[in-house]
Amino acid sequence: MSEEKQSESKEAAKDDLPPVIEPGVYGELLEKKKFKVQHLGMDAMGVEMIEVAAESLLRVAEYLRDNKKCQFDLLVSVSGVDMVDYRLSVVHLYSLSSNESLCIKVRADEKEAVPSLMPIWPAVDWHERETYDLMGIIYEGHPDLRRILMPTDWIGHPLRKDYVENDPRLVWNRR
Amino acid sequence: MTIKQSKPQNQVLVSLQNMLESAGVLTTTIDSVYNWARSNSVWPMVFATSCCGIEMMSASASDFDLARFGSEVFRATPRQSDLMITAGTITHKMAPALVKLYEQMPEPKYVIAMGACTVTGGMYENDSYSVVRGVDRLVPVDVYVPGCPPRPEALIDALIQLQKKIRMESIAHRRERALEHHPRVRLGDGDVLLPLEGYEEHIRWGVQEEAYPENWIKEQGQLVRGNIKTRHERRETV
Repeated sequence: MSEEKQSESKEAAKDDLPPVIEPGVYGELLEKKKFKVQHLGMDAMGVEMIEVAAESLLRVAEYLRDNKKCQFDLLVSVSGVDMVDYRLSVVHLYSLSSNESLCIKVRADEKEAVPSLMPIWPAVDWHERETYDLMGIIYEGHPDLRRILMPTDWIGHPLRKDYVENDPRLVWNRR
Repeated sequence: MTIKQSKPQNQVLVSLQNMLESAGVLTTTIDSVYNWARSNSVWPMVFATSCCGIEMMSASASDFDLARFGSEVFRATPRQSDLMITAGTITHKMAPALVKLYEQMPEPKYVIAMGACTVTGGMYENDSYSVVRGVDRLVPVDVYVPGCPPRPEALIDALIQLQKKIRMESIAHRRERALEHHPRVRLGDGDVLLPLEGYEEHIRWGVQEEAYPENWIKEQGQLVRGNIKTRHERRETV
């Protein structure tokens, strides 16, 4: 295992140039409006990805929905990523008028909190409930944040990396 | 439960039967008539939770025609059905509904566990957080049908096996049968099902502490779970 890691680090040392991330169209647009945006490049489907601070998420979202150059009127999905040290809330947007997509990532703070996007796109309701249920991200401002897939009195959030099912009530279902 | 011979053993009874038959009177026992009627009108409940349900529908449709065996009337209510075919994966969210429906069925009631998911948990048995590892942890099962999903012929075979089982029963033991056939778990205040008191033997039946000793530690003479790795850690070590 350690040898593998060493060889990996050697390979990484050969081309230790940081990957060049070019700012995308919407990232630049947001920066012009003095929003703090971190460019994350393109994903495999060629969709632009940006990271936004939790404080400015609602203003960024409102701008992306209402501005004529963006018009992201369709919310595709809200999902969560467990990065072990912190949790990411990932929002995928789509514009029906311009056929463009955008992916926004928001880092959850120490209390696992992220502002809810309910005032901007009401469609996030069940998406945020699901992400809360399985990943444990708390969406502040959501009117009805409760479990949607797991039983209401379930312990823990199953898709966390550190999740272990150790509920004494479920002794009858042990492996 | 021991099944008593329904045919008369007594010499007097046999000779009486022979006498009556020679006089042109046909005699039988109440068990044979009762079981003949019951086994040929097993009404299943509509209970399809995933892909096995498609095969169940196919079995009841004209190609395979479950109606040939007197089981065509799929009832949409547990109160009118004799048989529950658990066709599909049972999750923790669905399990309380299954137990409640089973309790609402009138005695005598039967269960066919259809498909790998309801027999053992199937491909979700290893790592899943949400799937019940076999429907026999919830309710008593009469016939198991493996397969993912089983062919309609397999379901028809399971029904024939169940009919054979029904014909072996006796009307005299209805009460004992009803007392034995209750859910193996109990409904609590919440959605998560609780273990039934006095059923430790049944619970231990499914637990594989010998196969996975690293998951178990002894604490005050009792085996408890401990030192369990998360799914994430297990994948890293492989």
